[in-house]
Amino acid sequence: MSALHATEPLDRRRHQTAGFTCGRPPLDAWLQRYAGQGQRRDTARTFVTARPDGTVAGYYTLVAGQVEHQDATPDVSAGAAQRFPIPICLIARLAVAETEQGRGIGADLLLDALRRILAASQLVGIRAAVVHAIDDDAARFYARFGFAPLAEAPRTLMVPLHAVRTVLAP
Amino acid sequence: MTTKERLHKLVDELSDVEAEEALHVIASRREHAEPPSSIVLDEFHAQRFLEALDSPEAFEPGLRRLADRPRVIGG
Repeated sequence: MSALHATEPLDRRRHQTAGFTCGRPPLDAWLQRYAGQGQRRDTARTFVTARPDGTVAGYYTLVAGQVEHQDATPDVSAGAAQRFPIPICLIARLAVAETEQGRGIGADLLLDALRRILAASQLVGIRAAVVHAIDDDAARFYARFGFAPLAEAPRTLMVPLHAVRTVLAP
Repeated sequence: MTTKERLHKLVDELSDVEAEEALHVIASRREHAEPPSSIVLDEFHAQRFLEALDSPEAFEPGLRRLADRPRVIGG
């Protein structure tokens, strides 16, 4: 197996995505059809790790977001609802090519994503990193590294930025 | 024929069932194109989220497990 380059922003001129297959078609489709649009429209940032020939071996996508309380309104003045909305960074997609699975690349990508979120939190307010797990296996992967369930549908898990900072800040 | 005219013609030709299916496809494509970024919680889950934010130390062992692994990327 060849070495993988450190993660960098997706660049259509250098990164090959056409043959990317991770075993979950929606994640393949995102990388091949939509990730570039997200970059151009400033709605999502996708970072990839690639082989020396430019073939993408894995990627993740970050999106700014917020957690809202269903009962929160502009004039709410009491209870938990008054603490919402809460700014978060969403790890909206994370996938590893089938040919590269089982090497720990997914965990490396997750760590890399958290480092980038931590850096972003120095510039804008972010209170938690949140993931939408595509299935139960993915949810177990995130739970192994400390993520806790936030909501059942979709499978959503989170870690507070304070914990990320404590563990990862130099 | 412009794209807009072609789309209008296509919509006119769709049955109700096909139109419903088309709406599902469009919604699915839209979700792919722009991942949902807003998460709405009910009172129970909102309370649980706030408690998690106030107890970050509970998350640290798992994050340390992630940080202490040998790296594969860039090595």
